[in-house]
Amino acid sequence: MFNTINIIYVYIYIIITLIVFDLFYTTNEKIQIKRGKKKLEKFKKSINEQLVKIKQNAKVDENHKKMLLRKLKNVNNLLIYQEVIRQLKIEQEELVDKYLVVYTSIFQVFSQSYRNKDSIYKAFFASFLSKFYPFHLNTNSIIDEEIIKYVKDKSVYCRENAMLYLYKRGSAKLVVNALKAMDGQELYYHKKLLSNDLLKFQGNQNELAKLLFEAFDQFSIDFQVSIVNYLRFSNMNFNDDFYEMLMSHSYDKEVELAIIRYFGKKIYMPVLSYLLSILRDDQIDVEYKIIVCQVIGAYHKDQVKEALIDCISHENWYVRKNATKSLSKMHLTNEDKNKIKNISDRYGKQMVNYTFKSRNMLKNEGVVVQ
Amino acid sequence: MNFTEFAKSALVVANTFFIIYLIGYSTYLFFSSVIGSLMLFKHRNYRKLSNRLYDDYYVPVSILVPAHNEELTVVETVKSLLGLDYKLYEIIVIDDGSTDHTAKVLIDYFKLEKINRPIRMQIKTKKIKEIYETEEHKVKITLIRKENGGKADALNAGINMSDCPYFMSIDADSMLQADSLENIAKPILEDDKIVACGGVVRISNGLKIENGRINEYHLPKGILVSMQVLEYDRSFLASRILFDQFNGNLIISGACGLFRKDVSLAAGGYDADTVGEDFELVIKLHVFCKMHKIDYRVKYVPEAICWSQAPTTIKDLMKQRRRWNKGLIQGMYKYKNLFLNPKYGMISFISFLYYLIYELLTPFIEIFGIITMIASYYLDLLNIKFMAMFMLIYILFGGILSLCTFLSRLHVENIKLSMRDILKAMSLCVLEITVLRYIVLYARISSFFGYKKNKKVWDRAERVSMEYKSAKF
Repeated sequence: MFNTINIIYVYIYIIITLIVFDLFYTTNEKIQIKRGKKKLEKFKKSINEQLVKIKQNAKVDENHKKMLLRKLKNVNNLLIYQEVIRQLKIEQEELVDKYLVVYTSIFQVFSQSYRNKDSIYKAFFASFLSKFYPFHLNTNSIIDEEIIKYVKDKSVYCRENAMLYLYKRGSAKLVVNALKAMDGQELYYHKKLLSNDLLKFQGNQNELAKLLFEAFDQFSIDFQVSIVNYLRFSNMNFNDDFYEMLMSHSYDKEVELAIIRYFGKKIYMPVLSYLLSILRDDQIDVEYKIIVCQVIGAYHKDQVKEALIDCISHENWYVRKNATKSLSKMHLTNEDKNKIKNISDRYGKQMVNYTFKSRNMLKNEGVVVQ
Repeated sequence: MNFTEFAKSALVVANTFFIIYLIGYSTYLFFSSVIGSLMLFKHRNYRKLSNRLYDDYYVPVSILVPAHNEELTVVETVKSLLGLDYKLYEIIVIDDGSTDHTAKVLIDYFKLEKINRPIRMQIKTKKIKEIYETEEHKVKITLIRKENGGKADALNAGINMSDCPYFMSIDADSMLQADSLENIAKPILEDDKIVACGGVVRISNGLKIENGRINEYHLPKGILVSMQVLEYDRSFLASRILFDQFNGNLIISGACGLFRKDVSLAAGGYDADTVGEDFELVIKLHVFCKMHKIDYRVKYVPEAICWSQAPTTIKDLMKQRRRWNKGLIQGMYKYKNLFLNPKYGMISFISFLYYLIYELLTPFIEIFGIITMIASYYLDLLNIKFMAMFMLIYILFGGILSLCTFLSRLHVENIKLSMRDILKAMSLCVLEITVLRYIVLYARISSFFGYKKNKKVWDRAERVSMEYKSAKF
């Protein structure tokens, strides 16, 4: 029986330790905030001194560099340093940029030392670089090489922050290499995140688009989908290539669907007959029909309207919905309106009434069906 | 062996069982508090060191607000939802046969227009009477007026109407913190296996909130509500974090849960025949994914916070807990095949077993324990000194645990505790484990009687109108 009580005693002891830890941590944090303010002022003073020297074109203090090399190994100091740089950038952006250029070698050293730290610290260092690295400098092969290693990290935050650095860096070649390295690790990276982030690339977007397309077959299906989604918003034209890929039927369904969406944004007449054939094919996977109905409205042709009117009576809800929505955005002749009016399918009629009403195409325009 | 000897032997066995039971519970509480505390600390460091994913547009979400006679609170709830820090969402209010002016106040305030919108009836529900809609605000607002069918039926109607691949259920008397939708959707970008995410429900009594952001927080004045705060913390900042470590959470609170629509629909949606629809849906998702060999994850997100009013009277508290326990009974009975079933792994051997022994059967075990102690005393089998010491230490332990989880909130974003609150929590933690626990125990026992009746009744506490701009609950 006493063993039982002893177990509870041990539990109580550990829980009290936790409570003490929580209280200690909170108190310590308050102290750290106070100390941090002092540290922040110290950093600020030291950086300001260098800014004055930079402004006067004088030589910067070597001790400042030594101090940074010593202090910034500690992530808490890097956190404070980041805050100081942020504050100073608001007041004197140009000068701070010059200061960061002078001390770029510091970042080289830390890009190597932080690589061996835990992912959480690595991610923070990458985030710091993505915010404050002087990107107008042309090259920095050491940091770039190191960052490519960061994108292989198991932590999604580390990979994401490292990629944000590379997008700002503006080298299309580096971005493509980093994506290949990341994809090679077979670690999960959300398709949406990748395609949205690619749009943040601050270098030559056309060059990036070209390089991504050239390396297309080397990527996994998820990455291919993201790349197609990104290329949809690119100024570059890959119409012939994507058409060829679509017609080869050798790509995964998800990639093909992404390509069909691409052709909804980039009008390419040769693909129209293939898109129409999907709408007329009763055996095809319905997902193709859903996507085609969504995008084909961009092709203002009579046969498109005819095919979409037929799809209003389709058994699948999303085919009906997308077909009606696409039609509502097209210019309809009286003959088209009559055809829509005369559809016999009850569900199709409901969809027409709702969609056309919500787009203010009411009875007086002759669309609402009884 | 005569009867006395037999009774004595039986009591020795019972006493041993009772001690093992308490030790088991203490061990569970211990691990949940320790792991909860450590994980919250870890999360705090992640936030501090920019270990987060940012995207302008996460995933599209339909927010479902089931409402029944909520004319006092529903407009403020929708106003608060319009103020969320999120871009891709729609709001769907489902008026489940209200007899007050729930629909009218919404139509008038948001200038909703009646429409003939087709509904994709993927789950059968009670008849939809009318649909109203507006796109004149930040996001689309839809109001569904339907025949009364209960909360689960209302949620199913909302799912049928939803245009987004994810839906979030909230209560009409709750308020999402401005960043909660963003926080609950973020994990989906980190892991595509997630089928459901649960957030934290916090008690809003004692809170000042402005534009969805906390202005000031103190423990509520009332003892009953304050004790519930400690109880909620133990559940949301400890237990759920522990279960999350092995994908074993069986509960996502109906007031703050995000679900993947396609998987939820494939599993059958909410069960309209149960009052614990949130509990039932989560178990259903576990079972469905396991049965179909889907690699899935049910995630708990302590950063996604929903504020909810807690019952302020014992009568309302009893009503609420009876409803919760009825839901637990119905859910556990429906999925009884999860009991010690190797097919379901840790969910069966840890989560389900925990809910069975330490939630469902607790009232009976504890009454059995008390009876055993009395009988042991009369048969001179009880070491009173030892027992008294054991109980005192146990109460002390429970109190310290409650305090520990209460203090864990220090690691949660936007919460600062005053010394007054800490002292108040210290003084209440023992009271919570000795008084509130037995009130809840009584409510649980009474819920066993007639748990099959009144399945579709909306049990509710007295509502207080909320003012969203600088709301003080």
